[in-house]
Amino acid sequence: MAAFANTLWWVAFLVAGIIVQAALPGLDALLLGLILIAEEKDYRTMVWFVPSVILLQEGMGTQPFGAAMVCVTLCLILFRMCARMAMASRAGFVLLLSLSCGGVRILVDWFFANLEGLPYAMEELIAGGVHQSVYLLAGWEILRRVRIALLGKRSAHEA
Amino acid sequence: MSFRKILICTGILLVLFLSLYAWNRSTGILDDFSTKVGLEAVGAVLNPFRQAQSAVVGIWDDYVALTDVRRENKALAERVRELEAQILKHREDLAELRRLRELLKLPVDVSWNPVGARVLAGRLGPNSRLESFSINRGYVNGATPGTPVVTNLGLLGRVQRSSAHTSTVFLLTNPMSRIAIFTQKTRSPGILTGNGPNRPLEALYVSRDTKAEVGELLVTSGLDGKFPKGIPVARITSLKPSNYTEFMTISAEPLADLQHIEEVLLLEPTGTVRPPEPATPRPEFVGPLLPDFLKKDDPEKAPGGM
Repeated sequence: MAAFANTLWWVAFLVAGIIVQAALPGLDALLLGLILIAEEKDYRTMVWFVPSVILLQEGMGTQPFGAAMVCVTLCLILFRMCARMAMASRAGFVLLLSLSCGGVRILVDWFFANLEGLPYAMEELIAGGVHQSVYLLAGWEILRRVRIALLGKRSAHEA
Repeated sequence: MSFRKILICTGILLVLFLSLYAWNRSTGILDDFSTKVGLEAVGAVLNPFRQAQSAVVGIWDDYVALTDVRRENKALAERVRELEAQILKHREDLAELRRLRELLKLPVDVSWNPVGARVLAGRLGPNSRLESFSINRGYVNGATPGTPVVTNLGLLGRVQRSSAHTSTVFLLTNPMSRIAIFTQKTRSPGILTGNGPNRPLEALYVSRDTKAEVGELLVTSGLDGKFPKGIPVARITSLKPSNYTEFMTISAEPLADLQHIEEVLLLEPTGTVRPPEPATPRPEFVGPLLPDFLKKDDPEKAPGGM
């Protein structure tokens, strides 16, 4: 029952994430769920959640397949690195990872714009990265508290 | 893990990724799969959401706030849109009629069938780098890749990707857009291209001896086979000979309102071929004289108020 509720929660998160992305163009709203799942070390959910996020982002985007895959991989790698660098402080870990994911967003956009020969404005890429960082910082804590309140799920830090 | 091993692993992953990327660019298999699954799932979420949103907003507008005034305003706004579309259509029809009297006898262009669609969202997600929006039509109901998209004011763009019931449309402002056009009055051909959001469009390869003017409309020529002939696209905002090429440098602004799009029309090809225009000049027409209003040069002076 707990597993079913957990699955239902993440499906609802995907639906809500799509609606948030429709309301805020250019934002990666689904990355937040990935980070929370990694924090909880819920690898069973990650098995279907990661491909779902990649398929949704690649499907709704206008670029050829690849950018979402790179972004998700880099963010998961950064998660491991930041967890090691900020072991003592959860706040430090959240801040570091949010900023890093914003930087990954800028890097991936720049890389694929050059790979596909698309024009881009550096100011817009940086603004997108900043929005992504702010969204992760604000959304992470809110989502975590809602999840604890509804399902009693805690992260590996708090377990 | 040592730094050297990390570097080697990174290099291997990069090579693998670039191979996968190149394979996908040449076959399109992953793009097709992600479009059919991902875009369809997104449409399945956004379509009912937009309908629920419209219902809630409709209830608020019609029953809570200024009921009759809003209803009347909606009806009038709809009527204005219809009339504006008719005016643009008639302007193009009159210009064509003045050039060749024989066109009076040609059938109306039956090669394209208009199909309505609703806009679900603007740029969706972090991978939508180019100007685009999503609509609630897919390849089962009229929106195949390449289908032109228009509003009552003019051309918007083309369908780029489509799943069964949802599609992504590229706007004409995106830098990869190329539209074969000519100027409405002087019929100078060119290629209209976008320069990105909030930047003017550029009409390329327009001859230096053109008699086009600022304010003149650009319409599709149909020569590229992608868009029907005669759809208004943009209005010329500036015009001067280029310093670097043999052509004119022409900037234009789109006629369609790209910021506030709610409903669009898709032009589905019917497969009916429009009769071609004659290759050799026809003999001088001998018949009844033209009515007075068709003899005047400026279509806006025609009775009926254009």
